[in-house]
Amino acid sequence: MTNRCTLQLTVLLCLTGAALSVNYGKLRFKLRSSNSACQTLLWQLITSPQHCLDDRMDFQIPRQVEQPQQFQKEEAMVVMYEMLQQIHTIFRRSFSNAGWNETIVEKLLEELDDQMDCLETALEEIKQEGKFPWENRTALRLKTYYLGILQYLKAKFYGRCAWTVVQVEIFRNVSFLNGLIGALQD
Amino acid sequence: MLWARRAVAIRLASLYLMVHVGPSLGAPQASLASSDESCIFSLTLRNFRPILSWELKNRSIVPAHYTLRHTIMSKGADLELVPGCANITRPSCDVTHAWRSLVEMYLPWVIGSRGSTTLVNCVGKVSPVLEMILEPPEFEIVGFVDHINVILKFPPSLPKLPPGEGLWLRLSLAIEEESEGIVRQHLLKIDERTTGNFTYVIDKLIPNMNYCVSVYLKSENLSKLLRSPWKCARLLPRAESVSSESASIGALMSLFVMAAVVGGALTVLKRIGYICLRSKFPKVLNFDGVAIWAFPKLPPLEAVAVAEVIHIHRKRKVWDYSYDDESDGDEEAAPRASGGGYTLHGLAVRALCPESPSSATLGGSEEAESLMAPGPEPEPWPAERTSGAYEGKGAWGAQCTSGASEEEGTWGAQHTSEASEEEGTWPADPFPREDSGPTKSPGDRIFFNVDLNSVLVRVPDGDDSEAPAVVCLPEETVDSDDPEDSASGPEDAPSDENDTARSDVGIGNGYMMR
Repeated sequence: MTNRCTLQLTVLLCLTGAALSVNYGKLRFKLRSSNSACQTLLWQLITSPQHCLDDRMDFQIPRQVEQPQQFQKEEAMVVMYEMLQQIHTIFRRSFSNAGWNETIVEKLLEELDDQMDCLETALEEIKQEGKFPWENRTALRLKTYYLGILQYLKAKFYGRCAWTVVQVEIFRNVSFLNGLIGALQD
Repeated sequence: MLWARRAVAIRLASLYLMVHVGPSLGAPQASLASSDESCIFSLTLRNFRPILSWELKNRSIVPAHYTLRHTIMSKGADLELVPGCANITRPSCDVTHAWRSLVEMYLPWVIGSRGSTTLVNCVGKVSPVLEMILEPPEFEIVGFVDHINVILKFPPSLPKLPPGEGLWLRLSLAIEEESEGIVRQHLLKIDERTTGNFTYVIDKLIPNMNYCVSVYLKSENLSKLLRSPWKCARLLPRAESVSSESASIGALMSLFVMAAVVGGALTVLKRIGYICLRSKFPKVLNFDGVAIWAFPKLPPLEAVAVAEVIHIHRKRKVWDYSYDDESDGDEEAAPRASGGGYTLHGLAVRALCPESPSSATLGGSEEAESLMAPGPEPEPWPAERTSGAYEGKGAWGAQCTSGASEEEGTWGAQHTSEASEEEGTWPADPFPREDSGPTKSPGDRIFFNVDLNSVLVRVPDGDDSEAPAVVCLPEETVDSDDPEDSASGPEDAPSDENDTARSDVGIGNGYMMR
């Protein structure tokens, strides 16, 4: 009788764990496809950058983001979520800038939202699993990084070339996100 | 506010210097500011080397020389001349050492000139992640029975770049094999060791099938890929050599079996004589020296004494339904002598030989019908006696099988041997009767009883000078209803005494002439 109960509990826990565990393969596929769409949309936004050579700025993104191989998948998810969230914030401030194709911007924001939704679900799961990296320095550095971008825009009075430079920088961010997606291995 | 005013002043000054002083300093006449977007740039990764090529939208303009410069947008770097791409005649340039990061956005600047005239001043933006085309490597395929060798031709060495840099990083090679609509993909990781000719084996294939192979480079970050043209090969059938060997072995076996069967059949046919008949017959069958008339000679005819047979015709007495006279039997029994030694009941035989030892009278009341002159029906004895001399020289043979001859011999009841030449030797009657002893009568005629069943009389042919042997029965009268008078078979004749009693009268029952 005791053995029977133990067996049933074990099966129940396994099934629950299987249901709650992150499907990283599916997450990778969804993130990568959405990320590819973001790249394409950003590329369409960037026009005549050769005229903004003088407004170019090295915002100095954290090097860990440039080398995602060192991240655990839980850290990678946290980093990714932070980046997506910041990018979304930056582009929400661009509605006031005339001259942009608003359709492209709306689509870009939708893609960013979709990625964040997928990551939120996964982050909740790893939070329940107790694997959430509460002390992630990369995430804190990213906050500083994106703050500087916002200050640049402000300083550039949200000029066209400033925005062009920021678009180019975000375009690079999306490429870094692809690297981070590769870190989400089972 | 003060800072913005200073920035504007600096820009105006640099522009003035660029326009007026720049040409004197050797700076290109063309400026980036005056550039346009009249070129279409394309980046291709070929043999792990990024090649930037450009094409003028206005194809009528054909510069003689090209100069390529570039910069990136992430940093405030100056426009740099790409090494090896100054005053080039081809509209392409190897940017392996200039462009090393996939995530950067590069700004190429091309100035096309002819002589001192600037014909083209174009700039563009290129992102390797989005636009770099991964050109597949060259390859060859060799098909076997159940596998295909894919020979990939990679460059002898990879570009030497700092670790983590290079546009060909994190690439994988995909090899697809297709057969009857089914596609299988094989992935090969490319790293610094992937150099030179590389052979990849696609195994577990079905023999005698057509397979097509295509290769392409693949990357997680790079979206644009170029598939190579399909190269197809038909695999060899399985055990082709084995089948050919087995076919040859089978053919040899078949020939051997056929030869054995044919030889056996020929041997059997020869044994049974169907073919290759012997021309050498046994000696006994050799009739070369034998006369054509090969029939054996008939044995010599048995000497048969020619005897004169005297027919005795008996008149058949018709019964008149009177029972008065009973002297018929007596009359019948009594022999009636006739002239010339003839008896009515006997077969008178006149022996030609005087010393006939015995004689026998043919007697018996039986009537012996003449068989020498067969008629359609037995006829009554004629009254007249037709005499016929049966002249026997003394050699009688009851069942004489020998040929007729005039040899003198002895009489025999059933004498099958040749007659002896004893003249006048009459054989003893095998069925002697009381009165069977021969009695000589005048005229040298001997009368004796003869069992016609045992008499074989041969009628000589026409050439014989002797009188034909004709058996004549003595004439006598016979009752029509007398069963004893009827011509009976030989079973009645021999041992009956009554017959003996009547033997001197004539031929008794059972006597018949053959």
